Amino acid sequence: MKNLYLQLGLAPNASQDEIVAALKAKPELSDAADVLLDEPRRAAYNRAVSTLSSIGMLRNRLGLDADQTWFVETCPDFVPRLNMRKYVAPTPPAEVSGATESASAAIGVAQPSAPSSRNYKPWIKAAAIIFTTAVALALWRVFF
Amino acid sequence: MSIGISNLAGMPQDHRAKLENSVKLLLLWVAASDGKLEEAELEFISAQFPDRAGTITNEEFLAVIRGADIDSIEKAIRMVAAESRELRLAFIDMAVAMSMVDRDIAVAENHILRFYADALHLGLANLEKRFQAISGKPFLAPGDPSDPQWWQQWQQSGAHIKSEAEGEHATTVDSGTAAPMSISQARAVLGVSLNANHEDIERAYENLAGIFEVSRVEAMGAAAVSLTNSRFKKIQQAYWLLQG
Repeated sequence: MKNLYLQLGLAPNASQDEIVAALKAKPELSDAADVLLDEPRRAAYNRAVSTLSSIGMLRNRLGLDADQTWFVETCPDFVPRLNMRKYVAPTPPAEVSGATESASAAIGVAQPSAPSSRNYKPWIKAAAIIFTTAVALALWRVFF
Repeated sequence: MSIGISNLAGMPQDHRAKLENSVKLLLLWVAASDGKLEEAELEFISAQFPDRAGTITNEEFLAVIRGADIDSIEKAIRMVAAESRELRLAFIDMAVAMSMVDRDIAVAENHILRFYADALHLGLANLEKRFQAISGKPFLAPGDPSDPQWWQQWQQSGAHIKSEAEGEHATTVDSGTAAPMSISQARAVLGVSLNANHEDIERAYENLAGIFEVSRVEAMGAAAVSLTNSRFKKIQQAYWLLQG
């Protein structure tokens, strides 16, 4: 099951107008209109979204989706580790990145790699040099 | 394979209480996930609030479940996962029975059952086996309510089930406090097909009576016992209706 809200960059309690606007911006998701603009369907769909979100978080906590499981395959939108960036930094609808990616592309989302050399503030660098020199001097005086 | 009295006595009191609450919460999650409560679910739920029997409203109850955060569900599932394989299987049987109350297993319920099977180290294959044994039907893939095509199929099948139930409304049996049951409901409870003969019905009844046996769930506390008892009564009622 898709998380249409995630793919449209909307909150689950978005208004009808917001949904219409988001659907116009993403014509490839126009099918979603038949679900989200029909009140009884949307209510039932929202319950499924809320249950699947809970299941996704629980599966993550219990480490059940470390590998490719049926859940990762059929509900990738609800696997927190695959949607980490989207969940952590909610952005305005127009700027949500990767929302149009297919499920397999979403699985391959690369995490930003850690910087190879760390950029410390200059005063920390200076303090570290002074401290190291002092320790070296003290040791030299003890042993020689 | 039944859990003897000596085992119960050996179990520390606070462990038993925690396990009972865990089982209760996990079963309530199945009952409430589709956002509406059927009669049998309400029966189970009001049994969990004995001082308010019959007076607790759907809204109040759903508020209780919404209050149950991810943390408590996680604790509960870890608690049950640490139990014996017999006990975990008995728990899955109860969860399947709870999901079958609405006749058509809902999308959310289907996912919760799959999650329980994984989290309890039983796997999908065991869940499929238990579901087939209890309902007489295969455990299908969950539907996709994000797909408009699924909604069209759902509406067609929903209309079909409704007309069937209305057609058989006249054939009911009254057994004390339990709600009247139609022939088609009785067949669904026993998991037998339209052309099942007396032997098939007999076999289905004996199989289910063995599954919903109180001694299997005693260690999980009063909630589990009451659910198993009411399921057994329903199975008995269906058996009498079909064999009578």
